[in-house]
Amino acid sequence: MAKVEKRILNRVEGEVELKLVWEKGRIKDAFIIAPNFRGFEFILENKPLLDALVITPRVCGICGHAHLIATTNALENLYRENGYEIEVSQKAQLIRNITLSCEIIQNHIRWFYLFVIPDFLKFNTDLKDFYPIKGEKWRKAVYYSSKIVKIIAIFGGQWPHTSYSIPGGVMCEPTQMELMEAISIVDNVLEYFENDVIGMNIDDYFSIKFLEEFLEKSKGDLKKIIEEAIKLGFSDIGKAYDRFLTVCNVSPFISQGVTRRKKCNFDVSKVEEIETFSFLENGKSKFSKGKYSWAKAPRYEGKPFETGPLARRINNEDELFINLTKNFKGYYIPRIWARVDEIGKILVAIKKYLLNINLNEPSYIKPKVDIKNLEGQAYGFCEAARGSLIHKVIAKEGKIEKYDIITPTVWNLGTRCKNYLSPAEKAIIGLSDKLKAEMVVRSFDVCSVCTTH
Amino acid sequence: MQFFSREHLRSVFTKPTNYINTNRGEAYYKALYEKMRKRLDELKAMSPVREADIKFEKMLDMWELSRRDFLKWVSATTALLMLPPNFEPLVAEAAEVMNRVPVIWINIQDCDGNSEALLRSSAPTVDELILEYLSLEYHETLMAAAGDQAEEALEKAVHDFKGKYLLFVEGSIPVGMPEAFTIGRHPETGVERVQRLAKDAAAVIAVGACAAFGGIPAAYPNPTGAVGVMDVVKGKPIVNIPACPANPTNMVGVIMHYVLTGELPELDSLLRPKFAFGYRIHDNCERRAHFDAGEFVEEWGDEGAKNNFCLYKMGCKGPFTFNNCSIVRYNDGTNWPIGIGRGCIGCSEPDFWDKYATERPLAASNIRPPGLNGVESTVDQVGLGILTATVIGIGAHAVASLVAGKKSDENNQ
Repeated sequence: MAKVEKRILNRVEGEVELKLVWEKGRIKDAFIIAPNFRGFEFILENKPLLDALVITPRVCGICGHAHLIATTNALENLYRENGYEIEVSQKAQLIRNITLSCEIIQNHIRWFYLFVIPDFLKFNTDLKDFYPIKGEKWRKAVYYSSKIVKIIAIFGGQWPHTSYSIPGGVMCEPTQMELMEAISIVDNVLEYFENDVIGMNIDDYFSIKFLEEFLEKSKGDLKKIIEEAIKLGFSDIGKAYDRFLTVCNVSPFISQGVTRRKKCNFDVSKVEEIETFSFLENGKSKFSKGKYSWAKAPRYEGKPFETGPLARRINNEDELFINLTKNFKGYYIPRIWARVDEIGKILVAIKKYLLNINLNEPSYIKPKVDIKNLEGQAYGFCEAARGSLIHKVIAKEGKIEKYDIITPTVWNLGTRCKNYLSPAEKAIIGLSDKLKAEMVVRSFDVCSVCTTH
Repeated sequence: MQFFSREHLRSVFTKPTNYINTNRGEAYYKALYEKMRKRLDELKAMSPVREADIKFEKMLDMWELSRRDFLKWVSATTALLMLPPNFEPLVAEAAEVMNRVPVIWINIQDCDGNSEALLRSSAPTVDELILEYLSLEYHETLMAAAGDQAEEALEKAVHDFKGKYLLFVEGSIPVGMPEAFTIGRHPETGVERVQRLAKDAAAVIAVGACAAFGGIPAAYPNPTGAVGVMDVVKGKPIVNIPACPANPTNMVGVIMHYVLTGELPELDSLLRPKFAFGYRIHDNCERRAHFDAGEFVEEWGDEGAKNNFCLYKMGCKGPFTFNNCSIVRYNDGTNWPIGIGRGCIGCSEPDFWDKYATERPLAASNIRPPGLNGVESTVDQVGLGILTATVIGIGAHAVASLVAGKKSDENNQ
């Protein structure tokens, strides 16, 4: 007889509940429930187009900046869709990249140390340094993930909920001093990443292609956790579908694409959102039987896809990670590693961006037409901390007629559709331990506030 | 109430409730000192909520903060609370006995942004340290416990500290659509959860624009019928610390005041502590001199923007917004929106999403800044200036938001 168990998942962004159906000591079916809903898409309707720039960042307190960038892109694309050219200086583009990257780093550091590692403490009490609040490693993580957001404050004024980017550029006029300050912060965080997280020189780390090579050379926290995870039997759990989705190119380490067996280009017209199991249907709330979450179910060509750092690594055809997916039957470990790996890649990229800013360029180039004259539909894309973010805006008479947000977490943690479970639901089917099931769900970097918005 | 009506604008510019008296005379401060002394002695006699907790000194040490850093923080906090310098020793002592006050922090319809702001402004400051040193009995994101264990911890804290704990609420409460927030093994709606936990609290502190006034979920058309804490909790002392996100400095200010006096700080008509929300952004803005001189940014990226001119014409709502961002700033004092050239959106005012946050409405027409009349007298006059201006020529943009605002008013009624 199947037993149904409901668990609240804490230590994630927002609130998530797991409904697990047990049979013969294994999870037979799993529902991920996002019980919190605010209705952003409805609030955006009928508001002036530029208002979206201050409203969408409020979707999430931790990846709000990604929403700002996606909205900016969507509005700039709206100009293009209307046949107007829109110019953005390289300086403005670089500044946007920098602030977005900093947000990703702060998220990854904090996710690894504050959300993932505390679970390992339940198995192994030797990891005293990692203990919340009291452990030195925990405090260091908070310190550095806080330090990096200072760069966002330098360019964007505040974090969280930054709103400084507009179609045509950015609002800030940084000085050389501010650039220097930002560079010194990046250097400082990079040093921490080398010494503590990967425990080796970053160039050496980038040359690594195999698991054994890493375990041999590294002395960092990442290695410690990976070894611990292998010891605890995480090598073959946590696999979702072997399908990965990335929507943006971020030079030099992220390239867009859709991989299942082989890689093809991403085409937004193949994305659809299925509402069968969501409380939201056709823009109305419905609580009929079978519906269980506020999240929808985005599908690409009708199939569920996993998005996030692991997807970005696979779509970038990163040798190390392609090897890792062969080493490990389950993707729990590669998923965690990919997120930590990204910190290093992004830090190196930020420094390059900072050094390439030409302060003589304009921050803002006024679009030739007033935004009130734009009509029609446009998409905005962004690679956020948790994966691929898609915004879609439909404009009419200078106002928002409809706004649609597909967050990374709704790809990973949304509801099922008739034929497929969501990737995270799929990943915990068959497990026999509820703590491990929770850990696998956390490996997707849960954020319920984004999932439902 | 019509937002653009003469009466409303006049009330905004001459709000009497926000008058703060920064010098109340010797007798007042002497009595206050005595009172705080007594309160601190009482607290000291009590034992910490959890016996095993670390000493404050050691905590400073762990974070590599010196006594000097701490003293700097003490002076700043004393000034923040508008107390004379001779209160500094009391503030320092209060910080050390903060683990006598149990705190429960719950999230309803939120984005976790206020917890984030609290956890990491930029580098761990004494402010954040204090929040950690507090006896935080429940916080769903920060705590190590998870699932049922966490819920048990919450129930135990409510039981053990009945009538003593401070309840922090983050996020609005969906009254119109209770299904928009449910939590727990025996599902509880947002209203039930807040009311149940508030019942045994010493006071309720609504953190962020959503918890204070409904914030963004309550923006037109308010799909979930969201409201702030004060609309749901009755018969309890409530403090609102609005802004999006709320400034951690102000959260600490309220707690410090509670530790020092056992009471909540003086509040304005919207239940915001006067020490933080007693002035307009405009009053202490670093770009104020440019306003008075009539120097404005006319377009993003123009010469004015490069020279940090006033952002009023770009839609800055600083003259309408009561908050202390211009003094305490964000991310450990690193910067604030106006600092990088992005005007204020009025995030500490009720209904700001419909009335303030739109790009330019209130500043959409030319105003004539009364440069010669001295700094303090200008505010009201500028107000009258805008008043005539808004009546004559607001763009389609403004009209649109005006309609949105009106509708939400009707909706709320």
